[in-house]
Amino acid sequence: MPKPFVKAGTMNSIKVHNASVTYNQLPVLWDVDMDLPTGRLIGIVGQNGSGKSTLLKAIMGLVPLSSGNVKIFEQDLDTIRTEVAYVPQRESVDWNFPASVQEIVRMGRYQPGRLFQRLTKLDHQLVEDALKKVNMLSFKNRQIGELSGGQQQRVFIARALAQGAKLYLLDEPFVGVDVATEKAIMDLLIEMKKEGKTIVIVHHDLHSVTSLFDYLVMLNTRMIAHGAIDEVLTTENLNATFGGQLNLFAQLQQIIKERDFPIREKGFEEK
Amino acid sequence: MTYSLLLYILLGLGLVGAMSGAVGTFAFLKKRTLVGDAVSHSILPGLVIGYLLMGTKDPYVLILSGTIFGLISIRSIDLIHQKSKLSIDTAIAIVTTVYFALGSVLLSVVAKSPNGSQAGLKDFLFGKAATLTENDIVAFAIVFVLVIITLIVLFKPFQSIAFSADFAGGQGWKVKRFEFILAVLTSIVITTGLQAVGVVLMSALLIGPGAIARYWTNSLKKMLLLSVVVGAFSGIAGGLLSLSKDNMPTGPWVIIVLFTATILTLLFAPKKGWLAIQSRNRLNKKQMAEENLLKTIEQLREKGNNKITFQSILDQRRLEAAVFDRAFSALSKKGMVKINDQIISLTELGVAEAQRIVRLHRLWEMYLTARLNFKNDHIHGTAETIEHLITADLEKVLMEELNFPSEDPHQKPIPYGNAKQ
Amino acid sequence: MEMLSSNDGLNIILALLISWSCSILGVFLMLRKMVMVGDAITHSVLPGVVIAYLMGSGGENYIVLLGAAFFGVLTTVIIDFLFRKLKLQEDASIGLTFTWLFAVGVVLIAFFSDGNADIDQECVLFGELGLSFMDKIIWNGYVLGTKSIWMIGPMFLLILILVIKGFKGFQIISFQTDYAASKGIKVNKWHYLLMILVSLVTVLSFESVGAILVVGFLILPPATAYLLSSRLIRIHFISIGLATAGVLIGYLLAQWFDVSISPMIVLTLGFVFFLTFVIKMQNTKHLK
Repeated sequence: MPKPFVKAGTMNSIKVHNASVTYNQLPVLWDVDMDLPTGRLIGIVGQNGSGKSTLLKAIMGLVPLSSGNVKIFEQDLDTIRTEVAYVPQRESVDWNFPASVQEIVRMGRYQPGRLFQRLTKLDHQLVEDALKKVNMLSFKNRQIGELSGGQQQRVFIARALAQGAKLYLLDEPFVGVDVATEKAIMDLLIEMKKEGKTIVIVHHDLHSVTSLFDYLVMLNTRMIAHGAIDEVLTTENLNATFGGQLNLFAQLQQIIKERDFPIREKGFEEK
Repeated sequence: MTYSLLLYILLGLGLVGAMSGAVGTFAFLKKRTLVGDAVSHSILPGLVIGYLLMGTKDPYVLILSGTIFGLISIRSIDLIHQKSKLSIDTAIAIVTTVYFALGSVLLSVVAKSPNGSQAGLKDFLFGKAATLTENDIVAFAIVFVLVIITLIVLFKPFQSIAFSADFAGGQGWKVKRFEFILAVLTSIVITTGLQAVGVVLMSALLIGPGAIARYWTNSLKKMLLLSVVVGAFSGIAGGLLSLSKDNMPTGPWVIIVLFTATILTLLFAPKKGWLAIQSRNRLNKKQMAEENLLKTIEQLREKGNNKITFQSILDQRRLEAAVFDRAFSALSKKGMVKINDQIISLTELGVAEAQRIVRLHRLWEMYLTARLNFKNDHIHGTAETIEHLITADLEKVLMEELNFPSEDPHQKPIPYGNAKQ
Repeated sequence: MEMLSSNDGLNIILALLISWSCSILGVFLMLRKMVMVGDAITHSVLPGVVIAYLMGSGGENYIVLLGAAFFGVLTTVIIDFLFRKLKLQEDASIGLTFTWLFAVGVVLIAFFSDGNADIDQECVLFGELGLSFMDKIIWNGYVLGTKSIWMIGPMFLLILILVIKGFKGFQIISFQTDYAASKGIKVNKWHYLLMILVSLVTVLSFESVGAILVVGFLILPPATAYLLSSRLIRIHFISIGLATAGVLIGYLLAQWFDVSISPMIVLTLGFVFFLTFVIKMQNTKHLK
């Protein structure tokens, strides 16, 4: 597979068009539309159940879209997967899994077409480099269950680094992480941004938003606002994001669930 | 077999099914039904030991020794799960096979003893109703009464625990104690049922009735009642089927009846059944097609087109011919559209309904831009769906909240008709 | 105790091949937390096995027997259908599906077993490992193993090769399915590969070990090994070692006490697990 070409400059890193996702008939993402820039540190904020993590999963094709589409660097995800590194929530795995730090980071080098081949010298070198960057090289033979929360998060980030992607999607990387690690991870991410990488982070803590990000996506099942942080961080937007669902909107969500209504009608389109 | 014995046996199977249904309902709600499978396998060594101690198949001794092993197995599963990194499914599988292996080894010991081959212990594997005696049935009835009385007396705490153990704890119930009582009941019921249904398939009798009942009702009391009935029915029907041929085990037939009932339920249950979902989808589609058709005609009328034909509608919207036909004839039956010399027109009723759809569409677009900060070019798609869903109550809220706007974000007029009053 | 005969040797070889195959697959079932689905598969292949035996007395019909494994895959499909499409909760979907297919199998046996000694209700549960030597293959006076050994042997090699070559695939889907999918790895294909292998091994060991006890072969050595190590490859080696010891000791004990063989092997494996668990419990306080 030829290495996909990613144009630098003004193009969008992620383009989400009219994306809707339903879980058990209940719409959890409703008509989300956004264009994210490249080379920025982008935060996705919203309260619990606002669809933040679902949006990341939708971008990675892990949950089916009921409507809309996603483009990454103006291409389909499948043609450009190696350029996108996904870092799931730390709680999503059983940390008793029998593997060492090094073995987990190596997974960053796994690719569908190469699963039956051995990893190359280059692969191993990239794994070492990634471990060095997150300061975990001395732990490389440690069982992952023996690590602290912060160290586990670093392992996940090293795994993403080892992939050598241009776009990073991190789901709640600062949950259950000590202050020192949070700082270390943040420094690393800023470094990566300077190298032109795009970093998207799902984040739940509003207080640290201004110090962490320069671009913000505000989500409350629907898109409230997205843009440069000083433009979108208004009282009005904050209320809409964290002030609970509008009554009318919530009632409609319920009606859709009860009636199993398709979120997008098919076969009867306007010309 | 005499007629009265047959009645006895069927009564016994009915009792077993009924109490399994009752106790199983709680296991089902707690999503712990697979523990029931482990328990039923683990009881085997208890039964064989009970037999070895007494030298006969005394139902009361067997129920006691079996129940003890059932409780030990539940405790073992929790211990393995809590004290090691092994997950619950692994713990269940370990307990199931090891205890069952112990039972099997003991069985092969019994088989080699002088009276071994006559012991009939092997009937515990798949159940053989034909071997039940009157003595057994009396024992079943006693257990049945005890179980049902316990469930009635302790209904409140069991209900809270089934809802959520944390919730029950918050209400001040001693959760551990009641969970233990529930475990005892489960073990007793399984042990009692083994002779009729067998070790391997007993768990299905715990799961099935509760699962079926869940689809028909939301109230726990009704669910319990229904699952008692379903359990009893499966026991009796399965028993009749198995007795129709010699040498036929009972358990499999009970399970086949039960599984059939489950599938029928999953297909036909109201609201949650597959058919109900399908027909809801069909109604949704029908409604969408009719309303879209009305709306399209109205849009053409707005443009000043007074010679609306099928072709002009098709030019405006893409739709399948069959869908179009069905929607059109439904609308003319409702007296909303007329066709005269190939020219289509709306009746007064049709105009009102068409304007309602257009109004909802445009109001929603207004709401999206005014309240939810949507851009003008991103509101149409959602409105196409929402226009079919807004109820009269919501419409009123919407109009008042937006203060009866006269135009939508695309500067199209919002038709109110009589809706403002 | 009498000396073990060459017949015992053949039985032991068969038991070892089964236990090794199960051990390798069981490690991944355990780590994927899909032991219950594995348990369901081992029960659900029964109708397939019965049909295979009815079609041509069993062992001779390799292809038909392999076809029986189809029921194992069918089980996972039905469970998935009940759970995802018809919204029946997962434990109930598993519990009802496998008991139903097993029930169908038992009924088939009851209908057709009259006068057919090849398969009966009990052998379905415990297997008849002690009799496996009877289908010996003899060539020019040399014993070339038994038919059962020649059936499970290639399967063991296949599993070994697949797991060694595809180790990364099994490892990554066991650790984090979502992450694997995010890399474009076809998670479903790997999942079904594992399920097909479990079905095939179950079918091939049915005659010797039976439906329920094969779960013991699948889970006991891996679970014990998991308590002893936290490295995947080491777990595999320890697990195979334990399986070997369990088979040998269990077989001897069964001969000694004159009881059924495969239950005795599972009981031995269970005893080893119990010892390990108790020792581990005293040495470490686990975080959970």
